[in-house]
Amino acid sequence: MATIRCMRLMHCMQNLLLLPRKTVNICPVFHRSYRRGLRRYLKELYQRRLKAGPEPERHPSQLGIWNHDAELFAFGKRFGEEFDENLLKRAFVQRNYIIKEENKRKELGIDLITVPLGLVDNEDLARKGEEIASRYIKAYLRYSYPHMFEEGICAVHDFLMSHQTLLHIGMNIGLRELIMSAEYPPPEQAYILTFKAVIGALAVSQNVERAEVFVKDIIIPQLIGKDINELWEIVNPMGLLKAMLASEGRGPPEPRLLWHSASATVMSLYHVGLYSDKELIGKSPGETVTIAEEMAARNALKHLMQTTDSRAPLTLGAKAVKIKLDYDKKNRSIRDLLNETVEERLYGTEI
Amino acid sequence: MAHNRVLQWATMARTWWLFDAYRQCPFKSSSKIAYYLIGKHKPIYDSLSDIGDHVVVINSKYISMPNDYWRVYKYFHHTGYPGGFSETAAWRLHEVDPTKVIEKAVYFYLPKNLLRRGRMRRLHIFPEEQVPTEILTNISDQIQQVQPVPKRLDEYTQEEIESFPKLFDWPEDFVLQSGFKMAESLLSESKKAETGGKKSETGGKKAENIQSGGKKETPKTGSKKAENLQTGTKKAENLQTGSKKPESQTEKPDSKKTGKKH
Amino acid sequence: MVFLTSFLARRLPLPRAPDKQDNFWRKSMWLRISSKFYGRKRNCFGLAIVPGWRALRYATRARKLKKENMKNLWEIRLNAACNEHGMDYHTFMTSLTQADIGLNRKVLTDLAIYEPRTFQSLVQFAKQRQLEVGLESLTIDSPHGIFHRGLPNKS
Repeated sequence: MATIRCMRLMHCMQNLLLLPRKTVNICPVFHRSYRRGLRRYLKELYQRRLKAGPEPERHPSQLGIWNHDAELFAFGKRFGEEFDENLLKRAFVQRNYIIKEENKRKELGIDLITVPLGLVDNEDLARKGEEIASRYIKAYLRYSYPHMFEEGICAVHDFLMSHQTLLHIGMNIGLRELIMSAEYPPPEQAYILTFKAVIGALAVSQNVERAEVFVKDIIIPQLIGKDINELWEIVNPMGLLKAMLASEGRGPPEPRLLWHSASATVMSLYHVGLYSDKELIGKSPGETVTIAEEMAARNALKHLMQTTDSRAPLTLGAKAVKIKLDYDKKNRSIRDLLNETVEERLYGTEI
Repeated sequence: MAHNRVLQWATMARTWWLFDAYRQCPFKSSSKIAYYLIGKHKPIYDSLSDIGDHVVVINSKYISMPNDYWRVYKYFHHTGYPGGFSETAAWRLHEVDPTKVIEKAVYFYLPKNLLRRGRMRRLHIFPEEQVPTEILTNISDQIQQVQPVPKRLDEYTQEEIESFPKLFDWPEDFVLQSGFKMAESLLSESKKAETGGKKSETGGKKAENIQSGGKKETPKTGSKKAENLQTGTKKAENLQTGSKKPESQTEKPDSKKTGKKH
Repeated sequence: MVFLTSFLARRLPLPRAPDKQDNFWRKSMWLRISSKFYGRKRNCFGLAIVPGWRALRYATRARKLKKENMKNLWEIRLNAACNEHGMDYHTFMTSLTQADIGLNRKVLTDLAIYEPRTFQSLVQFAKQRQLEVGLESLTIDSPHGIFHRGLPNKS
């Protein structure tokens, strides 16, 4: 930081000196000719900056050019949303900011009962926002991946609602200067809370549908470029595959070695294919036969759950306006599947 | 990430190829082998990346040189000292080490950079069909040969030979080998023509030797010949061959025959 | 002095009326160019200036060479990718061009590496087109020797 600021300073100095002659003539004392001492002067400035260290990060309001209301208004307009002014303002107020302000007033001897602070923190709005986002994301994922197990849907949902993802969003939509927090720059948790509270504020200002569109436009696209199969860790893919095939009334998976190379070296490669009723259901390469077999089982699961790499892209943007989500519907879970198979095994022969 | 990992592994894995050099031109084969050693047959090829495959060459003893390259093609060497120059004919080199001709040709065709030695280490040449098991188990694919393997006369049945389409039969008293002795001037060179006839004869014999006796015959004759040739030091021998050209010419067909025998 | 970007370093203005008394700015401009050289020509202006000129000449030439080299590389890769499906590079490119498929070598190479199935379908398209046009007959005699993955399957 120090270097950048110093460089800026140097450029400013040089630009001053490189002004046209007309301007230079205004102060003949300094600009009678080319300044021979310029280099030494700039060097000195540079050394002083290094010595002084970087400047502390300051909120723009401390620089004297800050209109919080105008910035808030612009924030809402940037998303093309109509926010209620007070609600949006409340969405940015952190709990620790209120405490800090109260303490400050106490120190000044102001009675908080007669002159109330009039600030409400954003935690209620955040809770509301989180609820809306969570509900919508699950419904959307179930709509997009109807054949995926409920456990997988939950895993993808957890990724989208995770600390990391929300922080990434919060840090990149211009919350930094707007958050009213005790310290600046605000802590990580403040970004997440505020982002959730903005969703909540939108739902209250307009309606829940509008907030859901916001969620769809901002949170769901975080899945782009991510492999949803990797987000959900399947512990025993072969066992799950067996259960799935059994529930569909198909034969058990049989692994077959399709191709191998350099098998007597450490760089060996095996391609294993899985067959059910003499039909190829999945194949994968691997360093060893065991790994290849496991990966082939995962590949077969992908095919069965229709989450292969060649699946259709997510419905987003203008196309997503028409989709109708069923919030009550749930995908089949692994537990249901296992119960089914056990029941079949127990009672299937009797019937 | 496991999915990406195995994909990466499969992409970067080195395949082992088999190349059967039986009756193949060593130069054409080598340029093809070098293509696989460099990795130019992969869409991920990059000149600086070491992504080449392994190539196992078998039957390198039974390569066939074009024209009379066995005799004409020379490998040169200079020790760096005055008089340190020496040259070895291809048949001689092949006699000493039947894998050397292919190896040198591949080495020539590889790009001249730091990856060259490493790529050569991925080339495994075997004179016969016998390949160690630990190498054989690695092989998963085969490189196409560069030229069709010719069928020998003795491989055809008598019926096939008889049914071969012919436009006319040579008269019984017609001498094929001596050619058309039309002019008197040719008679004066009759000696030369005779040797030429011998040559073709021996050539035919040679082919038979390779096929029928190639694997059966003991290398005794070959080694005897080598002994005969190695009368003095290597240098002296080279000087001999260098200085006595007409002699060597007449000698060559015989030596070639024996050279190919074992 | 530290320059955070090379762009900034190149664009650092020189004094308009260069003073012979202080050559610092002019020298530092050339030393910036020689900052990655080896030996004394990295730091000594007198030694740095000639290699600096040469470096700029090389850079000028390399701008063109880079394009040529990349084109060659893409052609080699595409040739390899086409051969995997039993197709010839030139035939492939010709049929794509004739069919108004405006994919350049770079994109095709990327497809061949990262989306092999997409590339395969393009090759299939080219084959079908060749068959329909009938100029480059696919009914060439099958090659001698053994068949392997890299060769067309005639069945």
